[in-house]
Amino acid sequence: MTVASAQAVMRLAYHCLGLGRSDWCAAMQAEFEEAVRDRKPLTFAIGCLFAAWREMVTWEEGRSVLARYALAIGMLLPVAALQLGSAVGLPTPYGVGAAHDMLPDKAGMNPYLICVEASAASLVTLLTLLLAGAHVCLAWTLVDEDWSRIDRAPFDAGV
Amino acid sequence: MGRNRRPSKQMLILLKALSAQPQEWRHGYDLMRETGLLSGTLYPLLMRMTDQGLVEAEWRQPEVLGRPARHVYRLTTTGIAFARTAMPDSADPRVTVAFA
Repeated sequence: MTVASAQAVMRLAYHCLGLGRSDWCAAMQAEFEEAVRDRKPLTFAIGCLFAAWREMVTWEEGRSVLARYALAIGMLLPVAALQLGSAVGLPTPYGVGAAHDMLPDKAGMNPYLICVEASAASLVTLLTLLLAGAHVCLAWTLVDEDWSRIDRAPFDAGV
Repeated sequence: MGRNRRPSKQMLILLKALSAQPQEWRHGYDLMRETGLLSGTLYPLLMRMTDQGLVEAEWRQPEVLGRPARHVYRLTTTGIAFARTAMPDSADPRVTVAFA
């Protein structure tokens, strides 16, 4: 299990490092077998991934890819999760979701608006869910990379 | 660019390991074991030092059949000279250097 996870991390490191550093990818891969014999494959593989990320920062396309992943994972997906939580009534850092608050049992303090709010609640919930889905799609679009293009980038840049 | 800066602590550790026996080719994992550096630190260092001409790397066929060829590393002449200037405690980089 650990070896399989480590191999997956090594593959990710390989893709991040790209063809421009293919020799180094192969060198790390060869040493990976030593790490497996040493029973530290995951530590080694994670280190290689960090090494690949550090290398990515040194060329323009790599920086762009890292920025897109940071935006997608660090901002868009958390926002999508908050919106999803808001739609289904889970507590979020800013309270229970607005759409959930509009449900009849929550609107008891406002009897004149119960009917209106109750009818709007499902629409607001649907819109919030759509918004959450849109954020997920946007995140996917941002990171849906053509890895072969990324692999070629260091060559194209003359690295 | 990097060579004009003061070498990092990790780079000095790697220089010390490589300059202990400068003519000897070393495997990456052996260097990790000896220096205690993790792969995430060692490989970027080796890449940078190779780009700067301080370290040379080549492929070696495995000693045991069925295992992959491995990269080996050693200091170049420039690297040995750089090690001498980077580690002033040691007149000769082949002598073990004591770090504070």
